[in-house]
Amino acid sequence: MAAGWEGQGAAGYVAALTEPRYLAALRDTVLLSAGVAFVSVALAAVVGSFLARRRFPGRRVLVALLTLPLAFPGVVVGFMVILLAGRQGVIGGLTEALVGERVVFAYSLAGLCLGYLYFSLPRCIATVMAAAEGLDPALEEAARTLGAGPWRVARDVILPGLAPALVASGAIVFATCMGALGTAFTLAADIRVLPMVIYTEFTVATNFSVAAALSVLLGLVTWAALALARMFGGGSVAAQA
Amino acid sequence: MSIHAALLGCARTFPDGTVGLHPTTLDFPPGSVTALLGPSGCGKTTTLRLLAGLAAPDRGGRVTFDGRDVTALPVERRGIGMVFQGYALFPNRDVAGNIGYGLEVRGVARAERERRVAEMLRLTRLEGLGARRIDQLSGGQRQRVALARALAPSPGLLLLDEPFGALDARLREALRTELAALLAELSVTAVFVTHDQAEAMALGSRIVVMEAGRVAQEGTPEQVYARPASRFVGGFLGTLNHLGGDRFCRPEALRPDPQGPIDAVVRAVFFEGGRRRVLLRAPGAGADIAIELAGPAPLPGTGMRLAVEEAAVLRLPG
Amino acid sequence: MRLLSAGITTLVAAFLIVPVLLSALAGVTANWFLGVSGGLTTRWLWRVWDLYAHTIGLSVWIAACCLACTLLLGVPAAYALARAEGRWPRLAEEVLTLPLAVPGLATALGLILLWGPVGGFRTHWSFVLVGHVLFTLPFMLRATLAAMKGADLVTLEEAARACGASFRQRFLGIVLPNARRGILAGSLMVLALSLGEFNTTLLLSTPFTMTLPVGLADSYASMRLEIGSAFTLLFLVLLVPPMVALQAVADRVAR
Repeated sequence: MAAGWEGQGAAGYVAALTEPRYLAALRDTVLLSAGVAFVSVALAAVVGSFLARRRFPGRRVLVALLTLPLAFPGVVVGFMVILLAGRQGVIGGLTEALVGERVVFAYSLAGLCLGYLYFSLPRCIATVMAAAEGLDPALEEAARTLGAGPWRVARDVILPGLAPALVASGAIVFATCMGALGTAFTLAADIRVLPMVIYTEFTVATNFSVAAALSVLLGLVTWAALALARMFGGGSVAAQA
Repeated sequence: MSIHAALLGCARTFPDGTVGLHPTTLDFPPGSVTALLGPSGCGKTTTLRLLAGLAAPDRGGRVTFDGRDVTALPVERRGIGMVFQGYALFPNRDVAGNIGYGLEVRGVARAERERRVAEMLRLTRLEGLGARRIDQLSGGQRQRVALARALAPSPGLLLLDEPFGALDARLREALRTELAALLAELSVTAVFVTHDQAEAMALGSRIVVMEAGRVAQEGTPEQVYARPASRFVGGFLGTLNHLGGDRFCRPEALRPDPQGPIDAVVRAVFFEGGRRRVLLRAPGAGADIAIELAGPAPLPGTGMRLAVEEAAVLRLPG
Repeated sequence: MRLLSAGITTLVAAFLIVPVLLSALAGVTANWFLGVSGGLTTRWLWRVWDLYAHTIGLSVWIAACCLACTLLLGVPAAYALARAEGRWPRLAEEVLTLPLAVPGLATALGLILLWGPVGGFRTHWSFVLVGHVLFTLPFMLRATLAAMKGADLVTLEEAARACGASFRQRFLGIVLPNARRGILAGSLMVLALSLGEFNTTLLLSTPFTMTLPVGLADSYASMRLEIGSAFTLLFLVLLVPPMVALQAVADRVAR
């Protein structure tokens, strides 16, 4: 019995590491997560520093609204993507009215990207805002007295100041996207991201050992990404995870 | 290189409606070193930020450099140098990177930049520290880097916000002497903010004393010290003895004299190195009277008669 | 540049807010395909209530139990870690800092392989609870630990000892009040995470132990769009205001 289990487990690891469809799923998941992490961080850098540095009426309400999706489970996010870009979605309706053709992309990689962006952005924005509020305003003033215009200030002072927060939130987005199941589950997408593969191997194919091997693989890749981020100055990775 | 800066009718109201500075006109002649002196919240930092362009004056106020109106010119195009309180050194750049930043932004070629940075390092006695990280520097070294960074692009106007605020007393005095020599050598127009009257008098060729958003008095250190315009100014620049009524004097205007008109009792004696400061209680005076003595220390509780040098008596109505 | 940032901020805000409004609206339209012109109705909301009310109840119950478990386990553990010195406690902290690296799916698989065959445990709601506690415990531990370290408990406790306080008096009178900020933040996080947990729960739950997110997924997969929307609306109305209120209370206590 025990020997049988071990044999099965080893076979699972062999399959996980050699079968092209598993490797392709791993590659797609890594690329998707990395892409979403990059875009979220880039957008959050702009939005977070804007919200932290400018004062305008309704700012507090806007900040509260922007962080609201933090409490949404991934399935709800998937459903929102369907409402936006699904067969009966708003984008479809708009494009049909404008160019006569329904644009539907909720069930594709693009839809999944949109969903992952949706749940990643609020967390990134919150992290960047906290970091931007902690920046010493005198640094920016010092750069300006030395002749730096707004773009130079952004490049030489604000971006380096935010860098640890950006690395940290990027790593966390990457890790979250790697393990996210809910959104893909709702979209019932034909994209095979690793968590979906593990889920189907486990429930449909009852292939326990492969499922277990794949989730260990998933954990290792995620852990490596987080460790890397911590090494490169994202010391606060843990604090926001 | 040094410029003639001026504030013309500049006031500053904060967004919450409080007035940081009432309409103020001040002149900063080329090569002058002006100390803006006053307690916290008196408007001295606001004045400095108006000159820098880090704050805009209320409508109607104007800032001019060499007669040219720069009120609308953003700070990065005013060509000033500024030393910040706490220094605001860029933590992501090393010492040379900080000092050379202003030249880099102006597009100065690398070779010229390096030459200039080396010159600044020598001028501020930081040779060999160019590659240091900021967090590896002592407080005094940071202060010098901040000064070198502000001076590297050869600004026409140097602004310093509490330049020695974060340093201990001994270092303050050493750096104060250094800065005075440097300013004299460069003949740059300089304006600095301080709440320390000794610093203002040692460094400034002119002192502007501020109180509650207004200029209380301006003049040379000697003028402001010897002829203060109000009790506030007199008290802020040193000890002011109240002799009764509107009569005041500095400690050095009083001396022990057995025939003197003031009959006082010694309350306390403080040894201050070269001399002693003696506090006395006298009838008619509002508070204790301070004098300075070089001789042997009197015992507390003993009586002492004092004479006052009439020419040095200040008449300051409340 | 300022205009550009304002523009990007507006777009991102629209991207985050519009779908919430859409799903709220879709839940009360008679027919989403016809839009608002097809009329508004509360029919779908009542239908959702009949079909899925039990999932809401179970989710709230499990979240409350999960909070109780993490408080009982996490706060004493954080206290022990905060006071301990040496290599092993630091290593334990390191491990705790990366709970995200363990995918929820892996936790679920492990639990099922280990405990699945044991009696009626697999079909009991406490099976889901175990998964939630495993997932949320590091968050509670870390929030509490950070607060305890920030409060310089060692010195405070020495002072309390010097005043003659017993261990019980110190723990209740000094340790807990000074860590309350972290404990509260951790509690909120545990509640929110438990209520929204899907990755582990999907595998751990059975049709009889379905939590709210699993119920939502079920409605999206097997019911018409309006019912899914109505359920989402219900979720937004039931869970978001309490979360916001709790957050406000937390902010006030923290201050």
